Amino acid sequence: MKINDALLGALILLGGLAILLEARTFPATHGQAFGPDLFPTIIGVGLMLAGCGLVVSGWRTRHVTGWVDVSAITPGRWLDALAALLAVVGFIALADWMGFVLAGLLACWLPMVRFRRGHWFSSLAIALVTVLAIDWAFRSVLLVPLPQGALLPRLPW
Amino acid sequence: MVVRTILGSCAAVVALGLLAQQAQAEYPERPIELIVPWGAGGGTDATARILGSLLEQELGVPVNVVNRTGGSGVVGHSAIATAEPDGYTLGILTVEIGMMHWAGLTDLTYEAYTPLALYNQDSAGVQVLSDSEWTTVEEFLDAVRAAEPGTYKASGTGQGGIWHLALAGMLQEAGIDPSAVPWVPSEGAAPGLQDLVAGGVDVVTCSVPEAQSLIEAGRVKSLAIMATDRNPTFPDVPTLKEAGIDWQLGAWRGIAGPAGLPDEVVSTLVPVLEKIHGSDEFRDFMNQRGFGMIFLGPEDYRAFMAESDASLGSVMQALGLAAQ
Amino acid sequence: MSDTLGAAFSLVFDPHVLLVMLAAGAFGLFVGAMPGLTATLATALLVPVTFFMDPVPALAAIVATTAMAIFAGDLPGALLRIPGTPASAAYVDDAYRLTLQGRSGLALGTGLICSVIGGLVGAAILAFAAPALAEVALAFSTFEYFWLATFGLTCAAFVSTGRPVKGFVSLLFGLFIATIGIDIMAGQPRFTLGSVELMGGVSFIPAMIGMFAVSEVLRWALGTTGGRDAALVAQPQARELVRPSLRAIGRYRTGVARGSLIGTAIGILPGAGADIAAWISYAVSKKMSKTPEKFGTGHVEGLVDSGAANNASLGGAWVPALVFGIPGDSITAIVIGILYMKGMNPGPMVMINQPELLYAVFIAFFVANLLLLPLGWLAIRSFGQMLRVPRGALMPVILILCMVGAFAINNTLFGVIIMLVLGVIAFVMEENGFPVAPAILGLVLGSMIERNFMQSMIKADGNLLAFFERPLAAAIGGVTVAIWLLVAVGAVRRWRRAAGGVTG
Repeated sequence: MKINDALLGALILLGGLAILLEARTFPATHGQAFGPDLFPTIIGVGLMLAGCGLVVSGWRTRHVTGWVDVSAITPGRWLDALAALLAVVGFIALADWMGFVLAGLLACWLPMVRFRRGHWFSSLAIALVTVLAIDWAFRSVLLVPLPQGALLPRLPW
Repeated sequence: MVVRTILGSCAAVVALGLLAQQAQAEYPERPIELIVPWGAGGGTDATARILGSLLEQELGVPVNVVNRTGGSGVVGHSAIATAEPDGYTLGILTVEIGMMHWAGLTDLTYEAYTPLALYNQDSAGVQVLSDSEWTTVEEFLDAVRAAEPGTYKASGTGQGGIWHLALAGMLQEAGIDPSAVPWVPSEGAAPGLQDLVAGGVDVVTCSVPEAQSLIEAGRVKSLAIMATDRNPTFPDVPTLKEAGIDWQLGAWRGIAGPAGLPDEVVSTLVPVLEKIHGSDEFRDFMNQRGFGMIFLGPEDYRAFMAESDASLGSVMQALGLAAQ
Repeated sequence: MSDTLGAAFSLVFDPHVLLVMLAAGAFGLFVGAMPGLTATLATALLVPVTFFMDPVPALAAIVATTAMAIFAGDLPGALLRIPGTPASAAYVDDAYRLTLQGRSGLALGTGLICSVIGGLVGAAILAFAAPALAEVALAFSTFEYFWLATFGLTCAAFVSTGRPVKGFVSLLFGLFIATIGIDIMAGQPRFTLGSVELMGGVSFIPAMIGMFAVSEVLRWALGTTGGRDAALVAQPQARELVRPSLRAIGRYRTGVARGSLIGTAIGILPGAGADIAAWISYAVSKKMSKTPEKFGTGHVEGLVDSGAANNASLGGAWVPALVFGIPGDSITAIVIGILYMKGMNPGPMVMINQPELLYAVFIAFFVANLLLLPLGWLAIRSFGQMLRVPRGALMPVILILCMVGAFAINNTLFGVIIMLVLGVIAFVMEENGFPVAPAILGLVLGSMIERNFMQSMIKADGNLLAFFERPLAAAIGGVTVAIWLLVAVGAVRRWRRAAGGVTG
């Protein structure tokens, strides 16, 4: 996934500007020459300069590289990446309600089915074993309070 | 017939489940989470971990200590306040709960909690290098009066933190402009003390126990503590009051839950906490670290926090450290 | 003296203590190999267990756990390009490329043996020179720390690959992420977008997991760098583990010594630990190397230096902790609490009152590092089996482990969100030639630089010359500025030569 430097440079330029503007709103520390805005200001200016440089060099090479090059990625692979991202987003959204075991099971099983192009049942088995093993190791041995959720009781460990 | 058997077994399972729930209804029946708003390895964390393991022995369920750090304590304190008030999430409150809302960082106050027990209070001290020419706190204050403002620097915690207030309040009470000794914010007492020894600052107003190892190593001495009475672990260190300055300030730690904890939970936990507080293990631990012991039950603890909140607020306003 | 030493030996070589160390070692290997679980967390988890132990087994358990955990971070780093602990992040690219070349045995074998050597050097320095070195560490004020952190940041110029401007953007991005949260200098919330969670700042661990693991999963799914259809990489071969690794270490033996000494030195300094030790020694190794261009392409030389350095820093960190009760890193911060609990109050008195306990701790360090050899070998052999699993089944399992790891650092789903966001950003960055290493370095060092700069300015009443007034600060600052000048001169020369080549 190649994006032309000019586009990324413009994005970096805007990001630097946003940091700079936000930093202007920080109050000065009483009696001090430098306040909490100093480092963000330096960072913002640095990003803007680098962004300008990238815009210039990207603009020069736009005929060679094009704007966005995704030709190497087939539709199936877009779906693979989407499945991976959805698994994480879904886990974040559902874990508190479903609890770790169910949300984790979905987040492990569904992308696995997609990546392996099928194998519904063996994937389910792998995902189930993984999630139960993690639940045991993290909740009981490492005392990490994984989300419990409202749907399932705590497993017997 | 088959259907009836299935129905029957279902009913039996449901009934068993209900029974089990009835039998387990006694609090606590599952692990308790104890949130610490400060990092692993610090003083608050150490007290929470010993409390946690003693609670675990007494209650018979696991007590997991969970560090929720960052944001000068705001993150952890708000995690305790917003937890489900079912008694399975408790936390350690520290003196900062009475400071951060004055500083404008959050709306949280002590009223967002159900207090259970206050178990520790440590007074601020005045620490200088042991080869310093100052031998009493008066000599230090005279030096500050005589010198150009800004000559001497102090450290021990972040900007507007508890030990910063301790210094500023002491100076004000002694009739000196608090800005005469600029505060060098640090990430805590240990980095501040290290900077004292490295020659970076001149005085560190953290608690005496925090300076204990450097005092024992002969690098640092304590000129005074900001308490009404001397600390039994450090009987040679006079109080500020003995030097004629009526100023006391200390950090405290207590255990609490979110507002609205059921009475049943409170009445189960408070006697257990009182028992733990009196136990040899807890006493030995606290003495070993030099942490001051105090015990206040829910009512006194709430009143204590209200008083602490009001006095911190007035000091911070007087010093210009409160948000407008 | 010999009585004390004898007593110390019998304290450590007790079946119970050795058994505790073995169990703690296995625990450390597991925690270290899990992305998101760090050596610090492993130590914190041991605290309640140590309540019920005698001082020697309690401290030996921590020593064993941390030594194993720091090495174990190399395992997922080399095999999956996901560092298990931050201390393995510096050289993860080299280790992973070796794996892709079918040489994971060499990568892990070198890492293991260097870890053991580094750990032994750190332990030896702790045992023989602790009091004197602690004095030096205590002389470091904020001026010196500012220069030290700045020096660390210059390493970004050495660990960066590709176009300098992109490395610069990456570094600034890391520094920016480090400014998010409440600024301790002024108590001012910065870039928090009104979120309480962001007030606490962006935790380093979820950020690191995202930037390495999530971006790796995406890259694999999209198959953009050819990794997807690459032949299944061979698992570590037993014969690769020993002889080729020893040969590599023999070739770069100065690197082993250099890494061990740099690692110990950085460990001794309060506030800098195994991760910074690994970064700095990787950069030094590249700077000193005869073949710096090979770094980052599957070259074993950087692994030698930084693999030794991160384990060496563990022993170093105990120096100020034992002598003055000032933690050398986040692990020893917890250790100090345990020392107090066991009545071994840190300070000179512990050396006089309980020398046998102290010697026992030193001996435990040596035993733990020697124990690392067989346990680490077993871990490499069993962890290597993972490479047999088809990637389609492995990737979702890695993803769920990463989510749990990102969750566990602060026990909140917010960590998972940070992991996701930074993972996507890092993916886009790497696809377009922005190296990730400078961003990680900026994230590690950002707040250290800013804090020490601000503290120093308050102390110096705004006088910038104060950064050169103290002799120690002037020395470190001078070296740093000299390196900047060298880098600048080199860049100008290269640019001139390139320009000359075009016109001529």
